[in-house]
Amino acid sequence: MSTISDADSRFSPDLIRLFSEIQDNPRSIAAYHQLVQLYRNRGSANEAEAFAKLLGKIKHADGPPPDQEQ
Amino acid sequence: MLTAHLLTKNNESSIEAALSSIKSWSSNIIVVDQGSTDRTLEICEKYKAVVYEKTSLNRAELRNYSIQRAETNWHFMIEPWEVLVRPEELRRPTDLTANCYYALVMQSGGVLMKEVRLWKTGCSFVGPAFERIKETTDEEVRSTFYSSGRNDYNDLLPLIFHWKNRQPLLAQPYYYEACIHLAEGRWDEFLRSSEYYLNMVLNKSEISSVMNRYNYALVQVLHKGNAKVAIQNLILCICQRPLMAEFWCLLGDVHYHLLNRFEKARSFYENAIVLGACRLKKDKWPMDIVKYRDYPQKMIESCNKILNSVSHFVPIV
Repeated sequence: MSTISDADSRFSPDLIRLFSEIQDNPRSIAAYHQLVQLYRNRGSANEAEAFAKLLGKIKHADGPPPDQEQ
Repeated sequence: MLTAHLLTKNNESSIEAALSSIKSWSSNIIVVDQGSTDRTLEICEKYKAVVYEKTSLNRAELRNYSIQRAETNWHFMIEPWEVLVRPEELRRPTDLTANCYYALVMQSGGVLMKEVRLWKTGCSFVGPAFERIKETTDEEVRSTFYSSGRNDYNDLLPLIFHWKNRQPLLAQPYYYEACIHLAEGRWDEFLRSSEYYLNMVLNKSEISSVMNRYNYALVQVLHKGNAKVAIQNLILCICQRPLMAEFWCLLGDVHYHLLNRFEKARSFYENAIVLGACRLKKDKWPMDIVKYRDYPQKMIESCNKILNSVSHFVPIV
C-alpha cells in the first residue's frame, strides 16, 4: 500500500507535520498560524492569504477553539 | 483558417454530435481512423471530412501524421466523444499570438480540466497512449469542450504494455495504466498500478502524481474502507496543493463515512469552502465543480443535523 515512507521524502516535513496536526485537530489555531507563517516565508502569498482567512474564521467562530480548551 | 483533427475507431454512437458541433464554422476536418468496422467512416464522409486510415502508429504519431496533412496554420483537436459547446475564440485564431492554447474540457462527472487544444503549425505531439502537445503555454482560449467519456480503452492497453516493455524504469506508463483501470472500475488493478507509479515517479508535486494519489485515496475510501491509508495519502496531496477543495472534501468524507466523526468532518468541509474559494483563476489543475459548490455545504448541513440530533438526545435514567 502507498503510505508515508522514505519514498516520499521530497515532501516538506514541516507541511506534513502541520497538516497531520490539523487532521488530528481541525481547529488548531496554532497549526494554522504556523502554516500562514510558513507560506509567507516561502513567498506563497495566495496560500498564506487563504490560511489567514481560514484562521480568521476559526477565531471568530462561536465557542472557544479546541486547542485553547486544554 | 484552421483544421479540426480527430482520431477515430468505432465511434458511430458519438461522432455525429462531435462533427455537427464544429461543422458550421470549421470547413477543414481531418479524421485519422484506426480501423473502424462500424458506421464511423460513413458519418465522417457525410460531414465532408478528409479521412485517412492508419493502424500501425501510436496516438502521438497519428496526431502528427494528421497535422502533416493539413494545409492551414492553425489546428485544434476534438475527441469523437466530445462536443464543442463554446467555440468563441477557436473561430478567430488569427487574433492569437502564442503557439498553443489551453481550452476547457468539461467531463461528464463535473470535473473541469484544462488541455492544450489549439496550436499553430510547427507544434507536435508526444506520448504513445495519451498524447499531448510537446510545447508548453500559459495561454488559454475561451472555448469549452464537453466530454461524454470514451466507450472503452481496449485499444490503449496494448500500447501501454509495449511502452512499459520498452522503457521499464519509466513511471508514466504506470500512470496511464492506472487511469484506464480507474475509468473501467478495476479497483485492485488501479491500486497496484498506482503503487508502482507513486513509487517510481520522481517529481511528486506534478499534477499527474498528486491527482493519482488523490484517486488512490478515493478508491481506498469508496472501495476498500481503509481510512488510515486514505488519510495518509490525502495529507500528502494537501501538502502539495492545500487549496484543492476536493482533497478537503475527501478528508471530510473519511471522517463522515468511515470514522463517524461528524464534528471533524464538518471542519474539513468548511476548509474546502474557504480554501477552495482562494484558488487562483488561472490554475490549470482539474477542478471538480461539484465539490466547489454544493457538495461541502450539503455535507455541513448533514453533519449539523446529526450533531444536533445527538446533542438533543436525553438518556433515560
